[in-house]
Amino acid sequence: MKKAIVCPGIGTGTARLAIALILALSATTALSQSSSAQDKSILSGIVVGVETDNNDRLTRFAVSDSTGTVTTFELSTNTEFGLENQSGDRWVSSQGEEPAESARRLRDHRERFAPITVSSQNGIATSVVEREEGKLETNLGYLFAVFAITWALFFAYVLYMGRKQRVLQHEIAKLKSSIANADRT
Amino acid sequence: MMGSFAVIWEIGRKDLLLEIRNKDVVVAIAGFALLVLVIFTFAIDLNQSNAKLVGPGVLWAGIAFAGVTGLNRAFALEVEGNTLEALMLAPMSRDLIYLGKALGNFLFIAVAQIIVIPVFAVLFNLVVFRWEMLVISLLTTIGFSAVGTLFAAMSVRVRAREVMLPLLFLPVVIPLLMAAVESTSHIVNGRSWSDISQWLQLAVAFDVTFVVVFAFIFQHILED
Amino acid sequence: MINKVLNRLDPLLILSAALMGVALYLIFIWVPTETNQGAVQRILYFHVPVAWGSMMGILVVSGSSFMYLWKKNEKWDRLAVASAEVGVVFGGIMLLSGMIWARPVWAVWWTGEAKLTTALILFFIYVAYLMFRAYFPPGAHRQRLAAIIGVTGAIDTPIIYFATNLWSQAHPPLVTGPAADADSTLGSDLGIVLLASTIAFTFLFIFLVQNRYKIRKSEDDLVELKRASSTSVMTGAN
Repeated sequence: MKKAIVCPGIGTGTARLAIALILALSATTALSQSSSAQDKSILSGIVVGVETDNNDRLTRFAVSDSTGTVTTFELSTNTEFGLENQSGDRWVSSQGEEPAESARRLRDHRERFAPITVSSQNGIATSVVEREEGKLETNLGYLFAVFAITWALFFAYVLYMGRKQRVLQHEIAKLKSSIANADRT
Repeated sequence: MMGSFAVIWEIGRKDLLLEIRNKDVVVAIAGFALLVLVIFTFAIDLNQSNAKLVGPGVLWAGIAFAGVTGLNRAFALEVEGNTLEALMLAPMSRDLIYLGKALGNFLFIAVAQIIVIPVFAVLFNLVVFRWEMLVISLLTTIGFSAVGTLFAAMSVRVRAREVMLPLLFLPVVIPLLMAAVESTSHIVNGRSWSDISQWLQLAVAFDVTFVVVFAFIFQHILED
Repeated sequence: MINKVLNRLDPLLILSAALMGVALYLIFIWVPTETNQGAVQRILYFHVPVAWGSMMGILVVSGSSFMYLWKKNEKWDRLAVASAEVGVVFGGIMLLSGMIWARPVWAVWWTGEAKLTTALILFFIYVAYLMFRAYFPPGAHRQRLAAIIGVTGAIDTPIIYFATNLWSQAHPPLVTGPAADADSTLGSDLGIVLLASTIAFTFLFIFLVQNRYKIRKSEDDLVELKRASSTSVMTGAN
């Protein structure tokens, strides 16, 4: 709010722009109840609104969570995206690099009702990603995969060593007996 | 002191004279690297912006792979002629033999680069003829030949020499490759010394470390 | 009968199995689920100790390679090859478990982060070390050349790390995910479980290296015996 007081002194053009910006910001913070409550937050839901400027660049989007609460997110150039299309190809980029593609992807998600997970700070999205199957809290599949692979590999390695050792010992025993025989004769 | 430099130069010159006669190694390196460049111009739909992005990577990946081919060729010649054993019998310090062989390989890769880099500049339509490029090319070539000479000499008696050398050589030179690619991409984007100074320092550190350590260690790779 | 089985079992194996049991209990039952990352966070209790194991492997390989070049004692070579092989197994598991963890948390399987790239390059160097040993005719010459590769890897490590650090500054790793930058909610519990798991995996590492060492020893014994038998056959013929 400090900025708004200082700005009128600078010049009419910049001042108006600054006031408009601050008004827009405060409007969105008022809109997004959950994200303004705390600094950082994570929200999963379905895209319900996508707003672009004249050049088709993404400016704002809104997400509805499971309770039906709609939250609007602003974007910064650092906002990162990791979204998949219908065939599962992942597109990873940031708002600074491809602002038009991000709008296209979010519209695609809105049409498919594909859920996304948004991490945000003060109402500005920091990352927008595909919501993982069955949510983060329960994605045991990954844990299972690691556990299974770890032990399968260790087990295979121990088996391999055991077999090698047995073969070697067998050969040593054979040679020893043949030497003993040769000595006797 | 003058004597050791003369020995190194003599060994390097011997390889160079042999090379001038049959042109085996330089043709192998330059030909391979040029093919990599040409194939990439087909594989990627080149335009002004992505040439700057992928060009440096393609150039140095090409030179690294081609360098491996050339080193393999250089030491295959040694094996065919049994010249390595003869050289080992010579009454001189082992580190001088190493430095001499490395000098020869350095010259081969450098000559190949003199052919490859202009073609790269034309195919990818990039400006590379600058002092920065000369320095980073020299540093990279020193590192490649320092590491490559030792590993090639080690791989001579391995069953699958053609496979073994790249497997040993490439992971070890990755830091140098990163330095070359990053510096080159700064250079084609028109930046200057201050932007690539850290990479140059890294390349110098790499070169000094491996030249010194490998010259010292080279005596161990010979058979008793 | 039971005594016979127990006698054949290595005390190290029993110890590492018992510690592994404790670690598994702590990982899956005792420690609460981390709220930001969810169940996948438990992967770290495997990933970090396994990464530690592969690091130990590299340290032991380079250390004993250096000792071999210096002292020319067969023992150091056996230790080097044993820890290289076990280190590569640990390294492979480290890379796989890291990727599986990164997919849900960072939203990508792989990213150009400095530590990841360094780990991958070192993994390749020590795979090359093992392949070289497999391809080269056995003997003191092979041992010496392998030791040179072992030492080279160690010399290269700081340079690789410095380079990948510089490189990932130029290409900021794209880490996007619901919990990419969230702090852990576990605090000291995490440390306890990690410590227990690391101790357990350290003993597993020692056990595996010890066994691989024995195999290498048996191979040498076999060569020795073959030589002895061929001479004894020759003297028998005389």
